[in-house]
Amino acid sequence: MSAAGHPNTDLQIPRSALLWLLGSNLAALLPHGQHLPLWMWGLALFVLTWRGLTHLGRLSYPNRWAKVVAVFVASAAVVVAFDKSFSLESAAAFLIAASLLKLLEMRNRRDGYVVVFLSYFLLGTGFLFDQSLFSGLYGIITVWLLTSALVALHQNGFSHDAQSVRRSRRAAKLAAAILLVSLPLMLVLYLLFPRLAPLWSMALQSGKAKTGLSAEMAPGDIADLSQSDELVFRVSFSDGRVPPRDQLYWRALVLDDYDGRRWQTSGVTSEAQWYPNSWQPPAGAAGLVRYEIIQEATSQKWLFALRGVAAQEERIGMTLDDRLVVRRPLHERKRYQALSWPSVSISEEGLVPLEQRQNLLLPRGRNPQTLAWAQQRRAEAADDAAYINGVLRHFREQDFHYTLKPPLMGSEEIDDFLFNQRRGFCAHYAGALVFLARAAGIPARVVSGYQGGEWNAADGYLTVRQYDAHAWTEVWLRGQGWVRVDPTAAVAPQRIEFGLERAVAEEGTFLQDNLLSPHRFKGVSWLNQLRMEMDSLNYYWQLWVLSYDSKRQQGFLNGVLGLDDYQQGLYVLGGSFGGFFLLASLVVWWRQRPAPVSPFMRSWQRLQDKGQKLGVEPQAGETAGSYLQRLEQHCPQQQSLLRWLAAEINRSLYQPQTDKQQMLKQQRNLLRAIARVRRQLSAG
Amino acid sequence: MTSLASRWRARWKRWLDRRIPPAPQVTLNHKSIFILPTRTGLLFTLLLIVLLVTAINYQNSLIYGLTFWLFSVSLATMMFTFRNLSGLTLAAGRAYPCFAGDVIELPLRLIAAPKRFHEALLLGFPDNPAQLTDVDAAQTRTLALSFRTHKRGPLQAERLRLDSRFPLGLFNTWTWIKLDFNALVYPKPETVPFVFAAGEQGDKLVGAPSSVSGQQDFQGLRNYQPGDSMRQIAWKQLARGKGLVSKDFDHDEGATCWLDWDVLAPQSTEVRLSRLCGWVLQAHQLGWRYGLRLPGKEIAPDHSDGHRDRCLEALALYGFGGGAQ
Repeated sequence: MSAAGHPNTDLQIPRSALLWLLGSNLAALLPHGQHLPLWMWGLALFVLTWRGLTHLGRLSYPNRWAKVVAVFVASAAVVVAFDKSFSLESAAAFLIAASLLKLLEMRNRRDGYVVVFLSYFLLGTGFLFDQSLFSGLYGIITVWLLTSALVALHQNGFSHDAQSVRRSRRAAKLAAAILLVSLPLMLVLYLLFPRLAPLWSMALQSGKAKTGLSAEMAPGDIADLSQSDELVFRVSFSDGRVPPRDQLYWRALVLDDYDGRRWQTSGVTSEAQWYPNSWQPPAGAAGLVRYEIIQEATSQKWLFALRGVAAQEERIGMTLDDRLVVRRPLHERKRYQALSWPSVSISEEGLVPLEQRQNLLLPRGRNPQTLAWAQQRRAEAADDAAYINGVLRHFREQDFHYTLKPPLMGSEEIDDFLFNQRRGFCAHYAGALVFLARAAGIPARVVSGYQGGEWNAADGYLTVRQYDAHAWTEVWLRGQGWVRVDPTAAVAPQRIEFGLERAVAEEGTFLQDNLLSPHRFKGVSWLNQLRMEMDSLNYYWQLWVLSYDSKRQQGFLNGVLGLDDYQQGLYVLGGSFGGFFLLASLVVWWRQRPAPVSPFMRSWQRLQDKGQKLGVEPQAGETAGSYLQRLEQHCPQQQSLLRWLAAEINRSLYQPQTDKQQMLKQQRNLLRAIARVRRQLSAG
Repeated sequence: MTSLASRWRARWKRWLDRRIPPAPQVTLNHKSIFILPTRTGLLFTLLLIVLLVTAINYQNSLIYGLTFWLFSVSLATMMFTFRNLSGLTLAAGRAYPCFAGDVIELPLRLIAAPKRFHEALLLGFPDNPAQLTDVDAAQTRTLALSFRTHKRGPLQAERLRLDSRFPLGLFNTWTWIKLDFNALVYPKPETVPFVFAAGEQGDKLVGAPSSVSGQQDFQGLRNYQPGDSMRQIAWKQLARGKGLVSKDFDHDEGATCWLDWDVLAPQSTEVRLSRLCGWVLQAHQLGWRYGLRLPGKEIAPDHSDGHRDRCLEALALYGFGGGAQ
């Protein structure tokens, strides 16, 4: 019996609703601003102006041809603007163009629905690009605006315009009330709704290149990365066991292949053992470090971990070269636990021949000066370790500089760096050391990742940003296995101890391309304090909101609700639904409960029932006096009694006692009198 | 097929009559309010599914949050939509009589619950234009609902439908209310030449100088007497501040006639009533004194607006046992 063909959906959009629709749609578009081409804003402006003029009666709606042309032009423009690439950005741009054009042609309520629903979806896709706390708060406001628009769409638009401000205010208030009422159920759902694994891998990903480490390294890359203060990951250590800063080498990539210019991964050691089949440190091992990382999306398959790591979670594996990896590129933020045993010695017995060969490989005929120098120094040194120490001493004692602005090297890069320029960033030193080691017959490789991080003492976590990117060296020594050697520590010990900012303080190049970054102002204490607190807030936002996944959900069910498995969680979910409806019905029932009947009325109705049996039908709106009179006509033998009762009732109604005690007594007497008359009527 | 459909319709009507019995005044509550999701609600569900799939595939907590919030909103809005009708009182007002086939304006009072704003209510009889209205908290609004009458007699208004999709359009809540409008529907007047009753004194127009033409000449002004037709009032004089004065016509002074049921034999009841109705109106306009004879009822000749209304009422209620006083 629903309203088929009902005029409800064909109604024109109320005038006050139009402003809501335009405004809320714009609010849903704004977060997309960062990845939209400029002309989209032109389109938005054009549409809003046209629609505004239509609203004022200056322009007519676009006709069918104009619409066809607009759709065609907008689609073509999106295709051209995104270079025919099918990415998240271009999909969002299509959606936005569609919603804008819909906005232009919307006329009746049904169009309004489409615009609002599209905007809800746009808001959702906005979260794919930005999930910050600010974006979350902005989302709340936008949901409120959109819901208000939906309410305004249903308001009675036919009453005159003078009321439109009042009406709009009411729409906003009602929307807020609806959203607030829904909040508890939303929280229950958020916490308990099963977090499923992706149903299918999304082909649609952001086309924007992510800043961060890449799979290969040219000497200048990491220096470029150092100009960014973007968050890479945050770590919290369990049991408060935080390793000293000079042990915080977050390994991401092992680069063991050098072509004379770039370092990359040969793939010899990237095979992974997947949890739970991966290596685990012995249970009672001393110096185990357990930590949890919340990592931003990298679009890469590697994770970050300390040395001697073991995979701890499903779908995470550890590689032969001691790193953590996942199966699919990480397009979302990832939260994972890891266990490291930094003091373990790796491959101390010897290397697999293939690995040994790869880690000794040098491009033929490159850097002859370095080769000769290395062979000479190795011959002078007692053993491999002494040789490496000798090289480090050379770096420390000679006139080597650590700089974010290394000069351009010649074609024989390492020769030029070691013997002429002597100025370089970590990648130069790491690369040069590996070259020197391999030249002396010592297996060696470059490791890239991050070093250090900013410790937040108040909330106990470490923040690692892009400017913490670092590259260092691992050499294989007989009897010790792979040993970490960081040549940067020899040149610029402050880099390891205090971080990049201190290391390049003299040079003044810290974040010099990023003038407004708050990280430049760590010296201003109140500003730094503010920044740290904002960072804490973001950390908790990530911890509790963004990285709430099935594992965390399990933990919540176990820890907070004391539920063992998901089935019980489902019961709670069902129970909450039931509770929600029960509560709502209770409220409805309570507000509609019949008004309590006074004892007098109850007694009087019983008297009337009696009278009705005697044939005196009570009439609607009849007073007690008039009814008693008619009763009197019916049974004249009770005349005196009935008149007495009428007088009693009148006295009690129109001449009540002022004293509380007296009043109660009077009421009791009245009830007794009515009861007496009733008895008499039954008897007679 | 049709018989099955009509049987179902009849059953549905009986069920409605039991559930929401006709009354002069109805306050809406959970017994009388129906609610179902609309097509927009289904579209919204589609949006929720798309959002949920996006949230799952991108493992995006904020989209999860948005999805769950909108889902909760859709449940909560069911309650809000219901509340928009609940507590509203509809009361029938008193309507002026009309002739069968005319559109009658039925006054309907909407009385809001003490603390509730009932917004965007769409009211109307089926097949008649609906009206959109609001009722502010603790206020009363009177609407005139149009309803095309079909049959003479006490007005048998259908159930009227009250609809609302406020606030979000995801649910439609509605009710079918049958109100006792205390209104009369006169027979549809049919204009045919007079036929006067045969016999004693009713067989012809008595003492009428201009019986045939019905021509009336203006004679002069006299003081207004209660019962004078509105048509007779000299409005110009009234406007000049000379008080209520009636125009006196050289009408068929003393012309008396009887409008008789029996002369219309062998027509059917309704046709006779229609013709009698037409005659009453004509006779009244001509200024005659006329009487009406119906089986079991006789109204003595007279001429006044009140008399005319009495005659029309008798015609309207003919055959409705309870109506004949």
